[in-house]
Amino acid sequence: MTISGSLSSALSGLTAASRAAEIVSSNIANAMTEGYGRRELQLSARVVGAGGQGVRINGVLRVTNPVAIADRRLAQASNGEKEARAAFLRRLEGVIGSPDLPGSLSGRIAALDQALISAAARPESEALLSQVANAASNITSHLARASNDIQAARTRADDQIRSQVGLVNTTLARIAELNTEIRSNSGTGRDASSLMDQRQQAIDQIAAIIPLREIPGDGGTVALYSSTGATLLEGRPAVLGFTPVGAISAQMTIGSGALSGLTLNGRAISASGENSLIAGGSLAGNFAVRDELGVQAQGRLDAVARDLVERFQDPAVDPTLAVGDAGLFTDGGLAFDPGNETGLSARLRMNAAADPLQGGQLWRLRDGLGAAAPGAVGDSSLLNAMGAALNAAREPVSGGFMAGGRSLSVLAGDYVSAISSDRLSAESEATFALGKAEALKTIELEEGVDTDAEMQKLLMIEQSYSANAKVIQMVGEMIQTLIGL
Amino acid sequence: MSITSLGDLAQSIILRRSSADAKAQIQKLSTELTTGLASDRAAHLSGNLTPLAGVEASLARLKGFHTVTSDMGLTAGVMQTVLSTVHDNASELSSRLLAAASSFSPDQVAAVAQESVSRLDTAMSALNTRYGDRSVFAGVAVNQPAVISSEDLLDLLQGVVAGATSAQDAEARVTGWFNDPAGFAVQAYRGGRPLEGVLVAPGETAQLDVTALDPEILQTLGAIALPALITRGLLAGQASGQADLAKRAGERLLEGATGRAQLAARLGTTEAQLDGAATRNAAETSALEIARVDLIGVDSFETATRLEATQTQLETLYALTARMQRLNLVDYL
Repeated sequence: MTISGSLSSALSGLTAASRAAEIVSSNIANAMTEGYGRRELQLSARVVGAGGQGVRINGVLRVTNPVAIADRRLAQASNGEKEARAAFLRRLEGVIGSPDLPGSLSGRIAALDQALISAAARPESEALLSQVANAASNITSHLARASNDIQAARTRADDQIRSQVGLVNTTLARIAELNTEIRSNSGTGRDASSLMDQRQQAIDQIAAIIPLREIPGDGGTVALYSSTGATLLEGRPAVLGFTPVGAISAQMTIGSGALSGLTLNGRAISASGENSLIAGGSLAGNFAVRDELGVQAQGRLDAVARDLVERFQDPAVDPTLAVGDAGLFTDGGLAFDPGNETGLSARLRMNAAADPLQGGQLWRLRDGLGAAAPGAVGDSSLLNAMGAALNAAREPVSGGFMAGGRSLSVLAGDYVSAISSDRLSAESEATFALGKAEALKTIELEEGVDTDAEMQKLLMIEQSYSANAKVIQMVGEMIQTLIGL
Repeated sequence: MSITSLGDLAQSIILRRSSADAKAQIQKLSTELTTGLASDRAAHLSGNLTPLAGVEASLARLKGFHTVTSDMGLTAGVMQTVLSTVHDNASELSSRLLAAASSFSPDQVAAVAQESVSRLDTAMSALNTRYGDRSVFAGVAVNQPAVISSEDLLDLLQGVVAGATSAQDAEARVTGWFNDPAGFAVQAYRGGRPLEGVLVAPGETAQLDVTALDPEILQTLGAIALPALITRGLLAGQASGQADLAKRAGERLLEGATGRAQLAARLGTTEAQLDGAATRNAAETSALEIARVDLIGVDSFETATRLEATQTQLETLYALTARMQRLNLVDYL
């Protein structure tokens, strides 16, 4: 032991204390930063020759809980997917409307029924006939609005896919760059913790889009795989490809080739289904809205519209119509063609012959759409027949509804019920995933910065600093004594 | 798990989430408390909205039936009034006619003939009664009067009985013209075929099918018009013939009383049916309204209790947040 050895020890203690203070201050400053991994200074006894001399700073440890983070990311991705589905269904349910609201689809059908009943008792009343016309055109506009809304949601999903694919591509490239920087930093012994913070935040950004697994590699780098096995980052970042379209109509599906699928490094991959390479995240959720839920909802809505059209197109209801003539509800003004059902709900119009807004005459509601001249003003037979047609138990031809005849209002009730129960199950799955993600997030954050603990550390650092300083002072005095001899 | 430290953010995220949950819950409960209905109907019905749609559709139909039954009931009432006007005129006239016929006084016969002109006018104007701008005895031609004016009718009949030699002959000609499908029905009736039946309750049709063409009304009109023709010179100068005519007309009016009563009864049956339908509809409406509340209503007591509990929870959370904020080592250093 030499005096200079003591001096050197004390100096190393001072350095360690000031480094520790620096880390504490950084921790406290980032107490509110999400994705910040708490730092700890790693110390060990310095060994010089055969004996210990002072303290050695091994490095800075970034404390995280990789298991909790991985699980939390998976839960977030699952929540992202279910929430995308639930949001679509919730919106559609709102547009169709709960049957107890007068503005719902069922409510509008009931209004037509009621108007027909009242008009049948007073077929000469212009007010009651125009009530029938209004109720009928309200149904058409309601169906058109629902159809437009479905297609708007599909278009939005397409746009979301575009922006998510863009985000994934740029973020993957950034993570690859960060990997390189971290490797070179750790190779030269510099602290790479803040780079790792950035990388964790970057991975978090895309983890909700595609469920990820993070595998640590050499020199602090990570590789990223989707949970169904697609390699997203392994040294080099993968590139996802997608071509958005401007606006989607009912006829455009991925099957018809009008909509773009997804490519991975230029190779087409399936974007939907359990085994898709991107299954389980909000990206897959958006694909589901565009290609599965949206198409199905439109198909069933068209089936409801078809049922409506066919009820009134029957010459048995309105004897002035020939077979093949358009009834009260038309496909854009023409008779309905069973081969052209897709998108019917958006093209549905009330027959112009009886619609005053299209230059038609109200009395045709009473005397028949094909009538050339008004008949007896008190004749209620057609109005009675139309009311009966609306309530007749009729089996829907398309849309995959359960077999069995039902009235139009029950069919509309079945349609909204199917949407509601899908919405409820998607919501409960989303809530479950969200709860799980938040619980895991809490566990993850428990490892984060605790200001109380940091303050306690700071007290110790202060103590150690003054102790080391005192040692230097004493050693200095000892040297003075030697010099003064 | 050994805890050496607990991240600050972990605490705050728990508090934040709990308070957001409690606030959302309070909003939902207070909406439910004010409306009395579940805020998420679909969730309340486990996604099956079809029964609710059925109830709502039935309620809307019943609302339609309500206006129909009350409107038709009032129409039927108006028609009853008209029938009783016609009947009263007929029975009063019949006793006058018989009295005049037995008095053998040509003056009295002339007076009662004059009276029958005005009675005919009353009866025919009554048949043209409009209710709510709807001609009630004209069948489907509700926008037109049911019959022509009494003046025009007498003009027509004058041609029919022209050249009649006896009271019997005149009576036969007038009756024949009234019953002839090309007679009264074409020349004096301005209405259409009887009104169709109309739905007045689920699956139940009521029909107000009485028109001015009903045989009972035709018979009565014919018998009132017969003595009135005396004023148009029928059997002029044959005092006994005119008296015979008055007697025959008086008897015919008496005979018709049963028919008129039956007609009124037929209308009365429809009125009773409408009343019954209205009552049943009202009962069904209230039953369905109860069913609707059963489906989507919430128990206000339970909701209020839960609201109270959630409020307490939120207050506790606030107190806790404030307390935890103060528990900070920095403040004690």
